[in-house]
Amino acid sequence: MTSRLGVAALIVALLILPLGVHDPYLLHVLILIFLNVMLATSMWLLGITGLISFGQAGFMFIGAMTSALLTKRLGVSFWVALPIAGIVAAVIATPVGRLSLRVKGVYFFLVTLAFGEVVRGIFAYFQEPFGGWYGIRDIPPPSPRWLFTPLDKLPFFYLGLVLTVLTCWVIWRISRSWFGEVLWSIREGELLASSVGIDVLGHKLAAFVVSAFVAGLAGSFYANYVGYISPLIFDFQYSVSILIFIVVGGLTSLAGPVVGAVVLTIVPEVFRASGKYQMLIFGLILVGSMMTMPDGITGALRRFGKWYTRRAA
Amino acid sequence: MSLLRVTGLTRRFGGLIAVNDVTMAVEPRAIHGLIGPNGAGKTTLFNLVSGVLKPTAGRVLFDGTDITDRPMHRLVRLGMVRTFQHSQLFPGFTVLRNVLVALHAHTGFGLLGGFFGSRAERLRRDELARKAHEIVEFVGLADRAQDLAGDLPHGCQRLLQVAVGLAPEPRLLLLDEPVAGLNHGDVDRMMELVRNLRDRQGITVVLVEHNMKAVMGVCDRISVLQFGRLIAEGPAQEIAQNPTVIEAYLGVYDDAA
Repeated sequence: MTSRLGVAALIVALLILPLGVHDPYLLHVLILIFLNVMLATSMWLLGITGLISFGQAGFMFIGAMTSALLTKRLGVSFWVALPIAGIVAAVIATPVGRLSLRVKGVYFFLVTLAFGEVVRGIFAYFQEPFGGWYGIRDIPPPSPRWLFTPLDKLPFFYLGLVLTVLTCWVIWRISRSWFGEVLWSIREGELLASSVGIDVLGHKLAAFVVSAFVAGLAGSFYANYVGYISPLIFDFQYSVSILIFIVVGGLTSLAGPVVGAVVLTIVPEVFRASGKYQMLIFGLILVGSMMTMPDGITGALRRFGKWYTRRAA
Repeated sequence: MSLLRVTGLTRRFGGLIAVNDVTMAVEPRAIHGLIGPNGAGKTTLFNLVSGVLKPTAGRVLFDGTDITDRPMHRLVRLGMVRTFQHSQLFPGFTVLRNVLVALHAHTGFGLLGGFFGSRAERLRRDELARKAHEIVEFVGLADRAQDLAGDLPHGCQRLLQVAVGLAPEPRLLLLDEPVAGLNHGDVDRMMELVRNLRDRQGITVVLVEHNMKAVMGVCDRISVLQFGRLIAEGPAQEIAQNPTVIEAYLGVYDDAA
């Protein structure tokens, strides 16, 4: 119950935050956080089954490209392109998942990694219609035009907030449903799960497709917010950073990827002023957090909470 | 009619023939033992029957249906469940949740089941929880229901494995070495449970076992494997006297040596 109140308070705080904050840079960072939270939670859903994919940036790119082509070349509204971007990513994820889920452990990483690079390669190779290495510029913002202007980040902030809250809610409900229960059990014991009648491959595939759908949505939002996409953005490093969000945040609950994405989006920004030392400091913080909090920030907090209540009692 | 019929079942691993042309049948409501020295192919035979491995040759029929080549998770709906030699559990779940997962995996719930947390859904959850409790009680783990499966002592883990196997309401239960590594008290408890499975729930049981005392005490019929071949089959008392079986286990006394 307290955690439910906490979530409500957080959402309300985010809703009224822009009343006091007009700094476009700060709003931009918050929007980046929203994108990263969406991607981290989408990967977490797959992580429930014990799988970690390196292809998430690939699905995000597919969503971004779908949205960019639809809105720029065909003049389709962003609001139509958004769900289509998710669906296209999910449709492509189906055969990709069918193939890659046949292999286990590190081989699954490798196949998804290869997939992400293939997506990038294809988009980079074909100048027409994907824009090649130059990518696609001047992707129109969502309609209506008077609201979503390039100068004002506020509408994008609220759009990002809505998408993120919706994503988190859906993934949280999934993780608590029967389907989610089965995903957890697959992580606990795959052989036992299939021995009691669970179609392990089918459930993994469903999680993979849903997670690609969410990544596609995030890609679409990114394309029409930033207005520019290229193969240089959705690279392997981006997939890795999504993975790092989950690992640093913790895998046991949905709070993990959210906290991880928030913290690890803010930390590099805080040290931006240090210039060339930015990534060095970021790296040190990562190593430090892995050493001190092996079950992630949320895991460490939970342990601290238990320790505190025991001490108080 | 036999509940399980295996004909000419063969499995090769490269040059090794792990199971060689085995033909056998399990009658309904029997407790059927499968014994043999180490490496005789007992577990491989189980894996072939339960769809974990595909046979090189031969057929498996369950209740008249040909189930050769069917993957394991699709056999559960037909009424056949197996357990594993090494404790396979969901170690991070409580005892009750272990059984619960197995229960609703079997009852079918759809992709969106429980997504909105509706009233009907909650009622169903309660109903399944009640069933799970019954099963946990039946195997004698009621006082452990809220413990994490991974924290249980070995004996209780083996009992929990049977409980998880019972959740899908099987007609045929394949138990792979259910008393391996158990102490005397736990062996008796497990054998009592196996007897109850048949007598009170009408479940046919096939068990692979090394513990001769346990096998002889509980099984109606016994099949003996050696080097992948079926070398004897019959009622328990007969098998205990069978010279071929004794030879397989103890070797032959060679006078010349």
